[in-house]
Amino acid sequence: MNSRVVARTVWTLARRALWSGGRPRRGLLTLTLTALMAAAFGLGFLALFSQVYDSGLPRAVSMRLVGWAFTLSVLMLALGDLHAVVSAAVTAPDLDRLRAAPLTTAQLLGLKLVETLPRTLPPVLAIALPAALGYGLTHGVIALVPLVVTMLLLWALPLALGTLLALPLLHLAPATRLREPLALLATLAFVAGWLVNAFWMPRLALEVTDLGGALRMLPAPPDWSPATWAASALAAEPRPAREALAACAVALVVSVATTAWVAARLLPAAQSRAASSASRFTHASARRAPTLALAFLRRDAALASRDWPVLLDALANLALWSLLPLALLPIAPLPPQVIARDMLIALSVSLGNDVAARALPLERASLAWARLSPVGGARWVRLRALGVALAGGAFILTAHALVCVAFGLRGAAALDVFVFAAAAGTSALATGLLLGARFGEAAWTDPRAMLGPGGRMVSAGTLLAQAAVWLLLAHSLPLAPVAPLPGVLLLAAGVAFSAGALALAARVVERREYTHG
Amino acid sequence: MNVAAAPLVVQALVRRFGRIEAVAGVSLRVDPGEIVGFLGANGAGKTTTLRCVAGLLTPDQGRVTVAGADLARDPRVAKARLGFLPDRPFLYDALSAREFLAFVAALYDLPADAAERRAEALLERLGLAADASRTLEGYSLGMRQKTALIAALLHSPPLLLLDEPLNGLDPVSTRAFKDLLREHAAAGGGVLVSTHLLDVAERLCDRVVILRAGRVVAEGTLEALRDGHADRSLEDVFLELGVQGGPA
Repeated sequence: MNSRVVARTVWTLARRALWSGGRPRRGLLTLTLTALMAAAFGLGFLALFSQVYDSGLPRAVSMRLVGWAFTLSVLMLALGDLHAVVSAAVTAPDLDRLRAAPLTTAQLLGLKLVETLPRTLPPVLAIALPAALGYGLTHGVIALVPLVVTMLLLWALPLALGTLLALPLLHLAPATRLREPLALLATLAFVAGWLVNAFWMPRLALEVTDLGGALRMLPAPPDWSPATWAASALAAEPRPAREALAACAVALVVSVATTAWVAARLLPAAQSRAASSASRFTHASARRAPTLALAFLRRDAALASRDWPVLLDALANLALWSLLPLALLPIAPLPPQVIARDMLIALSVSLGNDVAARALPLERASLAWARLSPVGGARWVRLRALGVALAGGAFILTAHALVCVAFGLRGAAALDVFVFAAAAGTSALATGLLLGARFGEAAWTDPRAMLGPGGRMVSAGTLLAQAAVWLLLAHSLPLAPVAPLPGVLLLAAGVAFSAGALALAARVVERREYTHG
Repeated sequence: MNVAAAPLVVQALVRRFGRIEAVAGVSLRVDPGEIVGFLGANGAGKTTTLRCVAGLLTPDQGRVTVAGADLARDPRVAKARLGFLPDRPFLYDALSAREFLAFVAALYDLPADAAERRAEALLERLGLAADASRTLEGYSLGMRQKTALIAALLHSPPLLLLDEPLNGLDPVSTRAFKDLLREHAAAGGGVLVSTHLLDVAERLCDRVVILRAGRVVAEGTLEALRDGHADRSLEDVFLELGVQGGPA
């Protein structure tokens, strides 16, 4: 392998992933988000370490904080790396060409792992490095060599863990089936962490009045964790521990060697297995459905139920969103009806983001049938909306029944909660379909990334904006017995908004062009 | 099958991508019972033309008429009268071939019994019947191609548009495929087939259209294109006209 030419090609591709053809590319968004996240974490750590330093707390407290920041980075990476390894080293589209070239397994893995850097570096650059720099700037004791060794370790260790876990897993399940659940696992862990944080932070804010006292009580991260060794190598008291630095260096070498060793033994077999994809036998009727609407519903049910990572992801997210308002209960005690409104609104709005926005991208390139067949884009979107509305309606009705039983809501109060959910759900589902039509990516592999990066940002922003509007209404309108007029107006607003959004979605689908498969 | 009008009439079709004119005023016609070969070097504009005719791309100028129906003014009727096999088929991987064909039958509003009979007959004919209850994700390239061809033929359209249809097909399937096209033409349908396999075009097509840089540079029967030189093959003609450097 001509390393210089390969390195130059990798560099050219990396540059073009940021900017090419006179316009910004997708990589620039990742870079910007990482920079923003790094800035946010950096400023946060700087403020925290300054306060620790100014209040005269022992350096061990800072070391514990650094240790936990490093642990968070390692955990995020370890989960994400399972997916990154499978995607890059086993199912990458250019793998056949590379496997046919006279490369050693280590060279091939090295090339593919370089490609994963945009996905595997952000936690290190946005969490671990700002923590280390924040500590260094306030305590003034960071040397370059320990910084480089620890950052490399925090990158290489999760990668070794990811390789160690992912490649044996590929002997149990085909790569194409494994890749999406692994992406799902990483995202769910992240969302669950976020939800735990959402429960924990408000309580902490209420309970902790003395930050110094709280930080003193912060437990130390486990001694056996390399993240703790890395923190000791940078921030141990009274000076950075040489033994910890040596342990980090050894762990780094072991991580790299383990990755290479495991890959050399398991990667070729995993790549061969990935080349074949297994079919499933179905017993569904081959007879066409009596109506087009039923044909769509039957197809949608098959697509959703057979793509179980997508289904599981949607279900988990819906549950998490519905539970989120409960996090606020201890801070702001609210009447059960308002809490019920909030929970149903959170669920309804998230249906737009998690179910409707994925409906059209779930069809991948086959959405071309909307233009190719005589059905037409507008009818296609309406029929898709029907499936989404039935699924969304089932979720809302089930959640409504559960919430009403849990909070003891009956009659007018239950109807009031339902009106909010139906109005919010109708507009959210239509908005979701529009976003899916506009930003859907036919070649998605991660169920959380069926929209492009820009689309995901717009979708998240839309979700928050809708939630804000409906929650504002929920908290400003009087409680039941609700007057009929506001209820009807709410529903009418939801329906009118969704009609506009569906018309726009139809326009997008009708005008989408298919230049290649 | 509506055979009263010409299955396809394309007039002065233009399609640009930014500053690049991929199709620059293409006019062509496919008559009932005719198989027309659509030849050209890579990037000549064949796929773009086929996709404009299929309704997947909107032309910047020009007119497309499918079996008498204007694609711009009456897209639903025009689309109901054509079947398109793209170079990379549009399949739902999570559906079996039978489920997929049942869905396509619903898209074209075919009667359930007739659609099922026709789908089964075509699956049998192309050797897919035994695998047709398996999900499409595990199908080979040739099997996917055959499934997509059946989907294109299911509603017996007057016009068949085929983009590199023989990709991945074994010799037995290739023969069955060609027989199906001949039968389609014999029943009065028209076929426009884009292919790089010149020997296939030579044996299968009644007429060829050669495209270069988005323009039609030659059109006619093989005899006419040979221009009185019976010893010239289609390859000779194509190399002279269809690639850059030949006379436009």
